[in-house]
Amino acid sequence: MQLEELQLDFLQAFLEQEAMPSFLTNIRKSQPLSEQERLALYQESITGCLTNALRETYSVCEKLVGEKFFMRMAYEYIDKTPSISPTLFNYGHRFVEFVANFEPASVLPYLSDVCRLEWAWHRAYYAPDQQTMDFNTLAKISNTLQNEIIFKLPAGSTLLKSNYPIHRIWNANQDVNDNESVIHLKEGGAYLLIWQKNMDVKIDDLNEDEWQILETIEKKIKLGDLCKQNESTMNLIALLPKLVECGWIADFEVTTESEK
Amino acid sequence: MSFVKRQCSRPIQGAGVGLRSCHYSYILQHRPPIPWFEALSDNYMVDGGPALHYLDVVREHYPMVLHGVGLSLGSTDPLSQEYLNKLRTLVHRVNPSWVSDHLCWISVKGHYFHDLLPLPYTKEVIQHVADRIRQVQDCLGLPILIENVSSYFEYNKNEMTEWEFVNTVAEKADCFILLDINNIYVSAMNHHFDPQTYVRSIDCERVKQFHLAGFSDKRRFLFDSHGEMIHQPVWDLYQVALRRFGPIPTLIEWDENIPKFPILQAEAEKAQSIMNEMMESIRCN
Repeated sequence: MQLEELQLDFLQAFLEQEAMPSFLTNIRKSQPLSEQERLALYQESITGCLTNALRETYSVCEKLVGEKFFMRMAYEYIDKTPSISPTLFNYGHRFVEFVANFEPASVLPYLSDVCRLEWAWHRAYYAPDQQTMDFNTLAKISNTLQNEIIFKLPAGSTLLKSNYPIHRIWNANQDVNDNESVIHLKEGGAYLLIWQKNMDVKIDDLNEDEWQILETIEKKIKLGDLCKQNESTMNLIALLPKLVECGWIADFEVTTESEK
Repeated sequence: MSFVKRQCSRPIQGAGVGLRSCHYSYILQHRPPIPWFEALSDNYMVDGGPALHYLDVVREHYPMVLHGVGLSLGSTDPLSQEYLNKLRTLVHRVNPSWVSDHLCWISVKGHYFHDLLPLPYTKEVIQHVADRIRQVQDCLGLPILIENVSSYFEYNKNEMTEWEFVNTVAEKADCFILLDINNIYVSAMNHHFDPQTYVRSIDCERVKQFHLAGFSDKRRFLFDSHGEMIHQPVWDLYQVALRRFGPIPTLIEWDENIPKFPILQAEAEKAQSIMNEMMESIRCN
């Protein structure tokens, strides 16, 4: 099929960025633009579209490094990462990893963690709507089955730990922020849960205990095993009501096997 | 039964506006007197969250159409079943008056360009695209509208004009046409044809929607930026289209440097006013 050949030629012209790709022979000569210029318009437009998708997701990263440096990262990422989906929601999913390995950005050791936070925010924004915790059913679970309960974090949520104050960095780079206080990189790290509540994305600061328990819960460990694993079961029992009250534990299940 | 005889079950009228996330709050707070909105399907193919929530709320108050860019109707790859399923789910959720996408290709070998690439105007391509449009219509259970795209090059292989291509695809696929007046003007200037000839050659029976937008004048070519006010030559061509096709529902599109909602509303009111005047003058004659 001639159409397929033509489309593959275009793909090659886009991926290889050769000076005289064979696709040019398909383009009708017409003034005032050359065939190269006409093809370049599409190449720029495609790159612009993918760049805009990254800019929308990683706006704080762009503010931190400046437009020029961000564009350099974006172009290199686009070269290495073709879009493989009709929609752009997941296009930036490997940008965090890319930034972490982008040598010129290594002078900003917190940058990839900030990007991680931005990707988590993006995920949470499009997460499935969370049902309200069914406390009635939870209360009716028999004592013998309580150890079989598996708690769940909110759908689309992300637990994040960083050695840098990335939540404060993120806040300081929001349009609405007017707080100009200085952020010291050595002031301490962050334990965060990024999740969606009532159609709003929340970035909640956790303490280390809360973060560790939620991280264990995320691994779908049964309540009984959770208690055994936790050095201080008292601590776990004391914290659970708060984790539920805050919405950080949003659901639960009791496995069919255990119900038998 | 041919789709062309079928009427839309939820007709829209007048000049609508493209729904953009930066305007959700304004729309819900002020409920502007816009007759209908067009939502970009691809932005709502998600599991949940604020975007879908606002879509639902706006939908409660306004008629809506869905407009997409991801079908890649002209690609030689198989249609994305995953995308089609998501579109069908969205159609069930929104119950739109119309569903549309572009007469172009955006992907090959699984690589997506996210740009509207022109097709060669050949008999081979007509058959290929028409078959795919029929597949989409079978999957959705309703006719779709195909939109003419603006372009920056033409192919040596072209066997016919763009308007002959659009008409024949629509006929073979038994689908409708979304005529983008701005795209016709941009392509006409870039490829040196008469935009009025284009408008006067399109099959009247199949046109169900117009798009209007602002292009950017790059001196040596026009760029379809959707980032400016609608230019006078496009308004002039719109009048030619109204005279030929009648009071077709018209959409104001704006995607770059999106202004505050009242600016878009004013553009929609201008389109409505031109539509009213044109219909009045036709009645008087």
